[in-house]
Amino acid sequence: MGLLTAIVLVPFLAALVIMALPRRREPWIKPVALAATGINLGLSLFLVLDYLRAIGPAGAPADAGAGLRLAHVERVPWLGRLGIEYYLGVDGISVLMIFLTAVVIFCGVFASWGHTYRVKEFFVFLLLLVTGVFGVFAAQDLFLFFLFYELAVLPMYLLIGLWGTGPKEYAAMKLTLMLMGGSALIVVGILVLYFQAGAKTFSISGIAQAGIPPATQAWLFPVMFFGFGTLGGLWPFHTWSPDGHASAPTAVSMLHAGVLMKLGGFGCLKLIYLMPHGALMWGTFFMALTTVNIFYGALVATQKTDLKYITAYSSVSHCGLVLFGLGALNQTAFQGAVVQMFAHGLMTALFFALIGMIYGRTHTRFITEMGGLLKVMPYLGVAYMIGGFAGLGLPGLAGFVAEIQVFVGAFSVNTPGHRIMTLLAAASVVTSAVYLLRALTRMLYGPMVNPDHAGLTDASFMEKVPLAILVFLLAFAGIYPGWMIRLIEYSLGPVMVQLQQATALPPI
Amino acid sequence: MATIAIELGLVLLAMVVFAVGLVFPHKTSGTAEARITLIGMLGLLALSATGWLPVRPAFGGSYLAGPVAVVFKQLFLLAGVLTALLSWPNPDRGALIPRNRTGEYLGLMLLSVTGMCFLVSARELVLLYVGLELVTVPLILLVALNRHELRSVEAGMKYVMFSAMSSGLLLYGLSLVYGMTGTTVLSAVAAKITRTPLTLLALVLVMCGVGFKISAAPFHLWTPDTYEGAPAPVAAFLSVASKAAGFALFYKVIAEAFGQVQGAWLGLVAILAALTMTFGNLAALHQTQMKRFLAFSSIAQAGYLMIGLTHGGELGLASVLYYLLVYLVSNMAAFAVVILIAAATGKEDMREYAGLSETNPALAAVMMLAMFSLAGIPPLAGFLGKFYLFAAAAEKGLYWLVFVGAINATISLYYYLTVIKWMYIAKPLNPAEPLGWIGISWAGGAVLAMTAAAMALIGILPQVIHWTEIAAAAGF
Repeated sequence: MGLLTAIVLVPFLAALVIMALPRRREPWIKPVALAATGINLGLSLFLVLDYLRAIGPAGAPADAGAGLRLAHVERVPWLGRLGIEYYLGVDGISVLMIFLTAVVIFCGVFASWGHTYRVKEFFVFLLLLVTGVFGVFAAQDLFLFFLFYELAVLPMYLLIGLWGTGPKEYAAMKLTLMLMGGSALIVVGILVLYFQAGAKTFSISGIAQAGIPPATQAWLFPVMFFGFGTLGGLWPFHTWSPDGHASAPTAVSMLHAGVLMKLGGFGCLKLIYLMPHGALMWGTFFMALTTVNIFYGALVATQKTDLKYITAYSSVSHCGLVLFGLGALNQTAFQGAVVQMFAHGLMTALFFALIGMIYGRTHTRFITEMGGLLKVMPYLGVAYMIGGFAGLGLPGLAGFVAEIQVFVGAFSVNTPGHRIMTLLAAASVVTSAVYLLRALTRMLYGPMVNPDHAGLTDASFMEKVPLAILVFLLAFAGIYPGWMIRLIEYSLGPVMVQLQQATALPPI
Repeated sequence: MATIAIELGLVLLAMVVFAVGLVFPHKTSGTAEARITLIGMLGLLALSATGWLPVRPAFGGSYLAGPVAVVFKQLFLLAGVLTALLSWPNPDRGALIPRNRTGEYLGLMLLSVTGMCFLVSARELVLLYVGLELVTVPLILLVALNRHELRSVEAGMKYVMFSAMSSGLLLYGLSLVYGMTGTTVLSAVAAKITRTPLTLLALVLVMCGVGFKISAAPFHLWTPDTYEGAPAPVAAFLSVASKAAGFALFYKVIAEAFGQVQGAWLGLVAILAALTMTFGNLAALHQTQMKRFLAFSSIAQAGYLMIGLTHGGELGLASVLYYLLVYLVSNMAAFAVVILIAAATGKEDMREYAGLSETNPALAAVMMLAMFSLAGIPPLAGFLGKFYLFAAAAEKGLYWLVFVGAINATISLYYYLTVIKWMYIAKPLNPAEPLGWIGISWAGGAVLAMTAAAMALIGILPQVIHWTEIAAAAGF
């Protein structure tokens, strides 16, 4: 059994163990979940270091070709005569995403330590969900990829519906149906890719190398991009996100906004690799849509007073930046987009964890009903501030590394359209500052709005751990982003080769 | 003799089961008949799985049980076994089948399965039609089994009318085929048929007959009322076995007989598939009565299965066979939960399932698996099943149909999730009258365990899809 299989199986087995625990062993549930996610955190950290070691100081040779640069490959024939394989493997980007997933779920388990309502089912579903997420990032066979992708939907409905707050049934149903609608586009796309490539394989790099006819790419690329874009929060299909994330319980919001939305961007990057012609035709169109994303998300966030809605709309804006970078179709912007996935994952996880903890104390999520909280909960307050600064792209934190690269990359494309869109997108940083600082000042400074809040306590030890991890990583990735850039740069090679080959051919 | 061992065994079993009730009219509690049926069918299932039965033409070439026919027979037998378990007579708790009529009931079911087995092996139109009638007539009686209940009788009446009419249309179509080709042997018919207006007329008539059996739109009208009125185990049997027989019928009288004029019917089937699943799904959205809900869901599922028919080749056949198995176990699992709850409490409305996940976690979990499998969520069997059906249509370039199918799968998720919502999330409507703990008999437990294991495993074990692919490659 390979390392990647282990990473996928550990949470799954932990879910089975928890399911089998008798009622009197209920106190063991959380430690089991923590142990499983801890093991995975260790394994994924090893994965990062191992991949960095494999790249070496030299980086990729200049003519490495368009095959994906995979490590820890496991490949065995699996189902039927169509050529479905059990094919796992990781490149630098997947490694980074797996690491992000492991961090977020580890912190998510800490953040759910206080759960008391139907604990067993909660952790079973949470671990099943994360199994799917790990699987998506490791899968190299499109069928397997899609299987894991949908596996993440199975527990999501119940996680929000059962343990959520507010209009949770509506939000859960909306989220599930919109995401499944997106995946309906994806399944059609996968089958078209398979039969058009005619290579009798679902392997991503196999299909890319067999090539898809440009005429097919011209219509299939936008269809599939909308499919993945739905999960990535692409405007106008983002509406599931604010409702879903606002209603979901803390750990689920962390995981969903922090990691699952990244599956959208991750899938879109795979599409660019698979269909470079389509990407060249439609890149600008999707950049225009995501400009709306970035601007609209930030503007709505300035009008909201519910902390979860503010964060959810800022997620729409920030995830728009991921897709914006992908639409620019050059190395710098791609790098920025992937770093943004990582940075935003940490940042949103931090926000949602904090909101859960603050709500647990104040029993309100409205910033108008809070004030002066920094006096009573300095630890939580400072963590919120750091998250906010990362959100508005302050240098020294991970968000800056992402945003600067996306903007530089997008601006470097020498057309008026790209320049204007980049200016508009960059202007949204100002809007971000408005809503982030507004929330910070209202909530943390000023006089105490509610006198009952004076007696509140600061973070407990179990709450401090996840916050510390997330804040540390945000700062570490901001101050020393070199390791990430190396992982991403190395793994973007094949995508760039595909794009160059497509540019060299005359357009259809 | 050995060639038709399965059918002979089934008829023998039916006779024995009838006889037990006649010889000891007052002493029987139904258990003896149920045991005989169960052991007998399991024996026949094992016998056909061994592969010892010779594959030889019988009755002057009008009967041949090739690999695909064997797969179909195993599906019918499996459906029969599960139905027998679900209608196990229970002395303590209420039963949906009156105990003193268990023998009658099981005997009729066995005869219907016999008809299905003849149907899939028929190489000739007359035997095929006789097989089809042998399927339908016992089913009519089964639907109206509770003859003092108005709904059951009404359901039986509707079923009679629709099946009589569709049989008539089918027969009319087949007689046109005979008139054009001068033969009733399927292979000879296939060789002689050409594309004429009369052929198209025959095709449409035959399609009506087949459409009734598989409850494809617009021939689905009988389905909801019949399922709702029939005893729940009968509805379960109808929804899986009778539907599978309908697909076998399609392969015989359309795919094979009209094999030379594929162009004439592939497009028609694609349109019917799109109509059927869309209608089934839209109509299911607001159902709350579980049997009626499952009836509309089964119409939608028939639509997905018809996607596989549009391929007209090996991949299509393999995907249909595989999905029939998937649908069989998933639908049986759903019906098992409905039956167990209805037998214990008489409740058949999903709104009354509120709180089920806390009082009866096992029942709720199996129902959830069934709903997710029917909706096609991985890693359950329905996911691979749908993927294969879609792949079959995509190979033919019918991308629009794949798209319609995928969108329909999303719509269907809404109502499948609604059931889960009632079981897991909703608070009981009437807290004074909660759904108490429901004891599960060993027979019910066996069905739940078998179907749950099957849903979890056949979507990820490569052997199962391989099995249908091998059979499809070898042909009927």
